[in-house]
Amino acid sequence: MEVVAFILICTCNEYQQSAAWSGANRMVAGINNIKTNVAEYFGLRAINTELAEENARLKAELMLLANNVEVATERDSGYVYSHLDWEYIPAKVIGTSINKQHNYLTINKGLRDSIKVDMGVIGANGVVGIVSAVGEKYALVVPVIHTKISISSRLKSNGQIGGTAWNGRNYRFVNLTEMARHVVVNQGDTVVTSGLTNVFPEGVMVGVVTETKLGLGDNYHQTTVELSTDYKALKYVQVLRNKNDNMTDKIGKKNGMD
Amino acid sequence: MEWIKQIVQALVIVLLQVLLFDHLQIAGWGFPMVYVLILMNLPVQIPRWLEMFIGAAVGLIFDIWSSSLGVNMAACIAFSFLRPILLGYVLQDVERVKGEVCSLSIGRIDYVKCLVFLVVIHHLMVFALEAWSWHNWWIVLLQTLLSSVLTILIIMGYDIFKQ
Repeated sequence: MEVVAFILICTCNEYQQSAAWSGANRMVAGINNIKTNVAEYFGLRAINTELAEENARLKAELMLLANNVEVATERDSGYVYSHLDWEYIPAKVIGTSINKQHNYLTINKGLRDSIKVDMGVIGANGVVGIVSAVGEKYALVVPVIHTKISISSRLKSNGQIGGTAWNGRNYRFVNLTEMARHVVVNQGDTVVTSGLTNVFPEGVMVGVVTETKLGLGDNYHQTTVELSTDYKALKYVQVLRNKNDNMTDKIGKKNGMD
Repeated sequence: MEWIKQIVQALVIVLLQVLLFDHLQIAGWGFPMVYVLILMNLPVQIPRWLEMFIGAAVGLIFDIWSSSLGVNMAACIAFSFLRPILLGYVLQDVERVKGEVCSLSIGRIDYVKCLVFLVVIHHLMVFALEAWSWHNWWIVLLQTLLSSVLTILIIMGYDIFKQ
């Protein structure tokens, strides 16, 4: 039996793929759902404030966007369309872990809401994670704070591409990797998604650089980024669906990449 | 009747664990896993195959819960495997308490000795297997230490209260 357990660890530890044997299991998620619903009543006040703040921010963003659209339609329409390619599926977080090396979130949307594996998930403050397993009604999300995930990111100030990876210690901080010696990294720089993958659109907030070190012989900066998403307080998220996904899949298959 | 009581108690512990203790933490590193009490309280000298089977089942339930297939299962099987060996070693006359539920009544000091040893082994296995590397070894040890203290305190409190 010990052998069975170890086989299970070895086969399942790499990347959680099965919905039925994880937090997306119907009964587990169901009980979690009830618990979240009860707990929600005690946090209504905080949620209210949060919503009001989000509302204000969205209004501001909308104004900016409306402005952008005007400018863009005058210039060329490519920019606007690239942002209209994404569809947002709202979902509620019903289970979170933040204290392990391999953390997971459970959300209350699944196959019947057309959620698929590898879709990106964002919250009100920025990037949350990537869907890793989907059940009928629930889905399992790998957050940025999982030691085996890296999200392609970019420094907003100079456009340098790197990856964000978690070292398994503090759930508020991740490391920005692949920032070569010649790149200028400053404290307070904003880190956003790169848009190089099909999972996230370009420019979704990841976090802010809080510390950056460059030793004498180092080839890369050691950069710490404070995540904009606080997983402990995360309640609502949006799952991103790329409307062009089918098309890119087909192109990939045609080129034999898949 | 005794086994019905045990099953009801096990169900209550499972619910308490997932609804309450999973959300409890000390300084971000201490996570009590009180559910090992289910395994600890099994009768002394229950058939070994049954004991290990129950261990595997309990571990599997919590693995599904925490999306970490195999981790809790491995630790719980080790727990169930070591418990009879340890009890046989610590207790002078195992025959005296044969069939009795394993709690403070089998001898306070003996019970606590077994409990501490088994909980530390179990917690170390859970945290080490979950991390699956010694890269953050000091986190694993810190979590083991704090969580073990927390688990043991809660279990002891419960046992004394039950008496």
